[in-house]
Amino acid sequence: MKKYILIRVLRSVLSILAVTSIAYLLIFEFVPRNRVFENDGMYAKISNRPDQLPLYVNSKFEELGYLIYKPQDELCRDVYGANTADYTMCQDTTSSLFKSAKATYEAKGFIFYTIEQTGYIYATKEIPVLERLLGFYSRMIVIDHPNVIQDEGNPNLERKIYIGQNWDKSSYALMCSGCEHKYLVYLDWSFPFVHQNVVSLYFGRSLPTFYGIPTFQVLTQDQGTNVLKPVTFPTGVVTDSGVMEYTCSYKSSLDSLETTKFNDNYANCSLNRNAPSMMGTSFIFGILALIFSYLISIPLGMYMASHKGKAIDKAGMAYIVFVIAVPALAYIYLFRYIGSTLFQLPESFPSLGPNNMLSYIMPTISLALPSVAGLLMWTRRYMVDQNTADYVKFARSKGLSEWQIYLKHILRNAIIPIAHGLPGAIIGAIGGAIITERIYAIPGMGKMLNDSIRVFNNNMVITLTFIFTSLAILSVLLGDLLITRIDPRIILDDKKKGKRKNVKR
Amino acid sequence: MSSANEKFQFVKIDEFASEHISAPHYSYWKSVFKQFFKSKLAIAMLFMAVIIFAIAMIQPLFSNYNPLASPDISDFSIRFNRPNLTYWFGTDHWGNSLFDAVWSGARTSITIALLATSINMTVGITVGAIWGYNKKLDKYLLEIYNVIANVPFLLVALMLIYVLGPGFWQLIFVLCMTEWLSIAYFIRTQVMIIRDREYNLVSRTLGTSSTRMISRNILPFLTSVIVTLLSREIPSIISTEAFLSFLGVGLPPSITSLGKLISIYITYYGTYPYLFWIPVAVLASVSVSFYIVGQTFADASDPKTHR
Amino acid sequence: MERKVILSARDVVVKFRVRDRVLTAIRKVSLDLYEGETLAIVGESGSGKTVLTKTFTGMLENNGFIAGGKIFFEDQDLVQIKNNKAWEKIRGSKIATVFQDPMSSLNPIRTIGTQITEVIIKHQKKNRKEAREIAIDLMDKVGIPNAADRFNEYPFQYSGGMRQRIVIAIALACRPKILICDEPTTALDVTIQAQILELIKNLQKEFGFTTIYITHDLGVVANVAQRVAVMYAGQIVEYGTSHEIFYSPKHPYTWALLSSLPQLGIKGERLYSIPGTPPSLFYEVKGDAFAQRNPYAMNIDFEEEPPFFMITESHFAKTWLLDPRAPRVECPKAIRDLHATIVKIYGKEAL
Repeated sequence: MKKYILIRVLRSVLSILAVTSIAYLLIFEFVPRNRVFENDGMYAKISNRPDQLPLYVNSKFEELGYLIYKPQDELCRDVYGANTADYTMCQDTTSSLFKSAKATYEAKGFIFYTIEQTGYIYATKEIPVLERLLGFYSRMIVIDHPNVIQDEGNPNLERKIYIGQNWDKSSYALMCSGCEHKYLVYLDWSFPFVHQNVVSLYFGRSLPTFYGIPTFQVLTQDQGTNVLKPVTFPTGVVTDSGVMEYTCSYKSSLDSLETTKFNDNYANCSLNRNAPSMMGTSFIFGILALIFSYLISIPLGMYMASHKGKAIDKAGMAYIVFVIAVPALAYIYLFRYIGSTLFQLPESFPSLGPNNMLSYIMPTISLALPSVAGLLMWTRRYMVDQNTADYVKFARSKGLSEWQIYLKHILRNAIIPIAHGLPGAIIGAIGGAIITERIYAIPGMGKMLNDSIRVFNNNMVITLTFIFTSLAILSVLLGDLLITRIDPRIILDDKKKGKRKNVKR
Repeated sequence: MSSANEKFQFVKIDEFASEHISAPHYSYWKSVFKQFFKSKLAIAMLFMAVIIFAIAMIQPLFSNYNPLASPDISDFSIRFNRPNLTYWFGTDHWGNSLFDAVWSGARTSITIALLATSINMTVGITVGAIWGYNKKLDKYLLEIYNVIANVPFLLVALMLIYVLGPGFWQLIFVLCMTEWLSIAYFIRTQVMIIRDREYNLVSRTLGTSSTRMISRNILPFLTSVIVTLLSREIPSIISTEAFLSFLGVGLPPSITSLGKLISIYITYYGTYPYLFWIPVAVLASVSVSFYIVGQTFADASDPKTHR
Repeated sequence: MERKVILSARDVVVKFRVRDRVLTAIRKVSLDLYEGETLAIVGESGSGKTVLTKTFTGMLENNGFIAGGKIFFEDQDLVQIKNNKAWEKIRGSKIATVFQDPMSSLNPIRTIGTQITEVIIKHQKKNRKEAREIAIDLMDKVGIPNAADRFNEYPFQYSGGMRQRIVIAIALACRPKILICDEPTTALDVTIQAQILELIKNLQKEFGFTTIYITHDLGVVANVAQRVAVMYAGQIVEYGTSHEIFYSPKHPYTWALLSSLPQLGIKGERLYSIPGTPPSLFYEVKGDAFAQRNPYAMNIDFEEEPPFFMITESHFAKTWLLDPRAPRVECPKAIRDLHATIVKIYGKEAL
């Protein structure tokens, strides 16, 4: 059993890697790289400046990992060191020093270009896509440790991990000096109460939207407007501020205002905002929709099964047909329309904002509609089968009451379809999120995927693919493991794996 | 008492008569159609599907609708006309007739759905039949399936169309790439169930060849299963196409579809609701009518319903 | 000695609604069950054996209903019971059933123990602990080794034979008066069949219940039954002691049934099989239902339904052949030799 779980987990990880890699390779090989600039204001501004454009374009390509870009001065610095006499000499592109530097780089496979207008020289080298992929994975998991910060301007930075107190001395935390983050592990009152900054994920930086911010951070940082409240800073200064102390990370030089508040270099803090992050928003909706669909479909499915052929059963079946036959786009709009005209519920999420309960009702219902249909069908069919199963007949012949049979025999078995439907519902919610978030303008991951695709934010697309795929595959794994826990007969092995129902339908 | 004695005479029984099970003459296809036309809803839906199909295929040939052009850019009076006798479905922000736009869009949507469905069904059924029949192949294909099937397919479609760029054939390709595998898997499971039934084991022990087994013993049995799949596939493709076009990644600007119309006219949802709701209604009608007709036909083609 | 009748069915008619038609599955069946006896009901598939016994516990499928007749059991008419509550007091505690397939009779995801105790708790108002003791004792009695250890195991951890023993234990947990065994051994392999039959026989001696066997295996009948009722097309066509049914059967259908016993087959000769199929129960049967397939059919068989003719006090058959006006017919030779054959196969003790 342990071996099975191990293999199953490995297989899931492999699936995630396979899908992400394929997405990565496809995107970086087939999406024309110039498309990144289609929505770039900077690019538009300098597009008629041939002396600057190539430098900008190539520096962006380097950031995106397509190539290594060496402008003239960087080239010289790499070969001769910064601030040396040779370095200054090398800046003259006709000098022998530059020529030898050029030769070294040409040998490494760099191609040299000269800008006609200025005579400025730069070199680029394409990175093979597989190497980029390897780089992507090798940078993906980031572990914070006391040797992370290498700041030339601060050679005496202390390097230690210690237990310290937070700013207002209300709580203890595992802290660090020399790490990227000041707080490694800390406690607060928000879920899940214990938080960490040691391990984080890095998928590259977001371009052109959320310019230069790591994609994962874009998805996980809070949104909305800054909320000010009195904060006691490390220097003892108390002022109304929006910073969150636990997010503070290293900053090499502080401005004058910051020096009055901070007594070390950990002054780069995120702001306390009033709306959950994109990931948080999507999770809230996903979980709400999941709970909602189970709350509706399991009891209703049972009720339909026990009233097979009656009006309620027919109505339920009609609903299932409706969801299968009518395009999602049409029925989500229809439900939104009903919600807004009959119940005065908002037609878009931002109109009342994330802090009003009413904002959540229609999107949750819209997101749950298809999974309710799926679960309803499953539960009903399962219950109908169970009702005529031999063991139920035998239980009846024992003289158990219908109530007892339902409660002790059928209902307990019904947990199997509940567990069975879980991965499907989660996968459905992911797909649904892309539609629903767009229609209700919900600032979540689904809408972000759509927005990223419009502006060719490749790194973001890959990040989201990774997250969605992982969620889906892990939920399938979870469902399988759940079933092995519930059903004593199943000692899952490779032979039985194919028996899982097709989750899409 | 001669009559009484006669009563107690032995009779020669007709063994053949006792073998006869009182069942009327049976013809499969006749029963299928008889069963199908029993459903009034199905007949109505068939009627609707045929009409929608006919209009969508014929009307755009005469309308000269061009999504990129306006009939008269300077004439503001032809913009935003509510549905009337001249413009049955009204006009849009460029003064184009919505009636023309909707049928042009429906034509694209239906064409894409039919093309993609036929490709998917052909590939899916062929692969599925071989997959279900060949145990060695099953091992490998199942591995692949388990990797791919767990990924939300909308995500895959979105990814692929993003990579390929907008275009009619690109869209068809994407709609095929994501669907055939699940069809193949479904068929595989059905084939496996039927494959191991006794009469097929018997057939195999008698030395029937594999191709003959698949084509004569197994596939005919799947008729109703295939029709069921078909009736789900068309709405599913229409829905996906509409969704991708709605997100603006499916078709190039020069081609319109129902999904695209919806995404364009969503701006006028509050001000000119007819612009938005008419394409939505047509989209729903196309897919519901196809689905109901398909489902009823699938039920009718199952011999178990022939009583 | 006059034996006590424990259950008595009179002119029972059972019908089913199938789609928009009505099928008559049981056509005026009367039957007396004597206390402590073992009665076997035999007949081919679809003859109504199971449907008949289902009326004793109110377990007809939803589309089935009793259209006429009376079933007396313990001073009440079971036909009159309409609500489930009243049936729950009879099922399991007074009349218990053992179904054909032990593999599916038990809930796969509940332990063996809880499935036995729940019926004890329900009918005997015992608490969990007492019920557990009774259950383990029962498991012991039906021959489960290490019963206490196996109490918390799941059905899938038991073999088929063991599961059928558990099913029997559950059925007998509340000491019912009548045990209906619906083909209890069909799903088991041959070596275990005999053990299960032996077990039921022994438990019957100990607990003193009355048993009804439903079977088409005449070997089982020969082994356990004291009386046999032969059913055809929703009617009992002949009943008597097993001795009478096996050695002097009177109904041509019983002859046909006995002739098709595989044990009677003679090497090199074609095994007898009954030609044709039973009549469709969707239509009203005119005359003798078996007439179509009866090699001894007379004109009257197609016109009038035969009454029961008494052969001995315990032996009755429903065939015109027993009418004094009918020509005398000898029963087939194979059946006349049946005694010798049965002794040869099952030993002297059988019958």
